[in-house]
Amino acid sequence: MINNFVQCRIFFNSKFFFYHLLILLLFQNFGFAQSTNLFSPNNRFKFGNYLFQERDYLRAIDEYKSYLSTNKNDTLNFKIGFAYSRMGNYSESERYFKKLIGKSIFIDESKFELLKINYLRENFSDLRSKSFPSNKFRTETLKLQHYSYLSDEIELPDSNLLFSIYNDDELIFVRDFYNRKLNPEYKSKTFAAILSAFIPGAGKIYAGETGDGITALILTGLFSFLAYDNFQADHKIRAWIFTGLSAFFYAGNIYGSAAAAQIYNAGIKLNLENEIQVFINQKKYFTPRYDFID
Amino acid sequence: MILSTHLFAQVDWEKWEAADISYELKSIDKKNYEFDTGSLSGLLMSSMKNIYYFTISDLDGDNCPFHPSCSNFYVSAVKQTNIFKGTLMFADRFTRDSNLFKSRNHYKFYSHGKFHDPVEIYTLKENVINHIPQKSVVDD
Repeated sequence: MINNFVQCRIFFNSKFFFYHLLILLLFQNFGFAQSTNLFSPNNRFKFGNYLFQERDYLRAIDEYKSYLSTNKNDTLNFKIGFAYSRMGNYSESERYFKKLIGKSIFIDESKFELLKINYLRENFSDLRSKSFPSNKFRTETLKLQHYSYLSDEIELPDSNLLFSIYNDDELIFVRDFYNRKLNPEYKSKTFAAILSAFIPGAGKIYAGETGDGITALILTGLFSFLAYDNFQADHKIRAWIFTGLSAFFYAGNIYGSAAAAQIYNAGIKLNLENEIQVFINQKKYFTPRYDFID
Repeated sequence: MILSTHLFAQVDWEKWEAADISYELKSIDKKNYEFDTGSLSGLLMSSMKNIYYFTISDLDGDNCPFHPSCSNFYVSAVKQTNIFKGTLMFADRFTRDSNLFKSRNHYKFYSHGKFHDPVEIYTLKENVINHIPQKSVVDD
């Protein structure tokens, strides 16, 4: 019994045992190794779908293209075009959508996506020139086309035409944007300059720069008083220096009031453009819900 | 235990040693000391600018809250427009600089703390104003 125990210990302590154990551990992996091909077209298709859902469009496109090298699938062609569009690569996106027009079940979807690309590229006149009366996304197309008037620099059409297509929730925003674009609350540069010519700083206050306006009034008033006071005291040199300084701030303020009004107007315009863009981003460019994408 | 505390004890000379800290405000605006010999007005402007740099700005330090600083603003304004319009733009800038109520709630600012106030937006030219929302940080 003791001998057996001792022999066992010798066996387990021997190098022979450890080498055998090591080899056994190494090769047993092969016994359970996965026999399926991870890079088969079907697996790449599934992985591509996962990446697409994760919005990892760049890698999803790679997987889809690999699948399409051996298979045909219009859904994937559409998804590649859609992914390129989301990535901002509009020329590639257009190429894929144009391939689908005429010979796939995604004709209407592709036409709409091409219109959307026109919007994203700010080709608003091209966008509005297209007409698809039989398209199943006619309403969405019209919404996008009408909305493009708000983003464009051209004259706005009649409000009845513009508002007719939107639902109540959308109309609140569209009407607000329309009115603000039609009658922007701009400040007049000339009026701001004239105001400052009469009362230094008033033009700045009119243009929304109250602090600068008060400062201009104080500086101009102070130097004018010092000039007047020195003329009264017959200190000609000092008087003329203060006169020059007063004129310097007075003239600068008239110019600055016009500039401030222009900056104010640019702020109004850019804020509106930003709000228009934010709204259509939230609306996803009135894109219909594609079951095969969501 | 008792002796080990002596090893980490703070001694006077460490505690009271003068800290080697520089309080110098490093200038963000790069000063160009060259004379512009291309034209008479350029030579006049660059001479005035250098006199200002040597006699006031270099000694006083970087105190202008705006970027570009008022002196650089003036030089750029004259270069982009003309001496008359540039001077008016500078007078307006000087008024903004004198405004005690200006704050980050009103101006855009850089990460180094200076207010964003570029020359271009005051030239009265159309479509050059790239308005940035207030209280935002501008890229350096």
